[in-house]
Amino acid sequence: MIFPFFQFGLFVKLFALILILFYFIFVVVCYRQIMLMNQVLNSKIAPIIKTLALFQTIAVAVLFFLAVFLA
Amino acid sequence: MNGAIVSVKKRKLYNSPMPRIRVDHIEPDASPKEAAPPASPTEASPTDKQLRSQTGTSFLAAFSAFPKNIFFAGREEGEDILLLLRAHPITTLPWILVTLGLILTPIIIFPLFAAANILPFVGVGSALIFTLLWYLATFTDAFINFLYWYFNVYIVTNERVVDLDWYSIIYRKVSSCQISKIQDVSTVQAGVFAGIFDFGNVVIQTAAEFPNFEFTAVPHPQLVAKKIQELMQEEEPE
Repeated sequence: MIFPFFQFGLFVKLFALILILFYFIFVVVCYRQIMLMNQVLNSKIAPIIKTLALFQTIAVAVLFFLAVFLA
Repeated sequence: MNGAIVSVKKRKLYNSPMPRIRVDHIEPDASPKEAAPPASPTEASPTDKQLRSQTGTSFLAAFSAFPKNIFFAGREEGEDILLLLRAHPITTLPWILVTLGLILTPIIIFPLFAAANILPFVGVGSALIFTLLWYLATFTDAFINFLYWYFNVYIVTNERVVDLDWYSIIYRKVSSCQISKIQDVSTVQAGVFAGIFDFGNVVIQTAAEFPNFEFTAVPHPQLVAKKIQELMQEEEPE
């Protein structure tokens, strides 16, 4: 039985939001592990790696909010 | 003369009973003596010269001899890092090619989808979000692969060998073994690429908790093994 209010686009949007949410959790875990690894092995490139990890985390967070309003 | 009695022929010279004594006045050497170069047993052997000639200058080098400004957890005071090794850069080629493919895919596939009117219900906003998600995921994949290569290091110091392994995001292992507990060092170089680019495995058998250390796909494995054997000889009690 098909619900009358069912919309395929809404289903796709909901799926994308859940996917981006899990992606955000993943990059947060990555960020934490990168901080720990930089404590284990520290070198000149450590600040660059930290910056890229932070950029990645922020970018996924922004993507989530864009997906809420644009998709 | 040890107290022996020696007859001395006395001669009167210039009516003086005292013998003539010649004293040569020697001026002290005023020139500063050059300081002897400090002894550096870690840089004295020909192997060290070979290591220096092969070392990479970039901070992303896979083979770095006597690196500066490197710190690893557990490093003791007075412990010098002699070698910092990673897998040869050629081993990163597969994921680099995959990343390039992922970057080019939206550029090729999405216009084809639009031209063929596939998925007509997908609006502009959704297409933008999906494209951003694709490229962010590609960046994450490339970044994680780079970090796996960068943080999987093998360190040889004047006291021990250290193996830092980062198997996955949540699984890493740090192993170390004193040079004095190393029993055998061998190298394995197999394959065409290994021969062309001179990389291979260095297998270290130890009497420690972890019986084997394996440096995987490191550049110049024979040179690494030679240096470790030199360190073993220095540690051997005479």
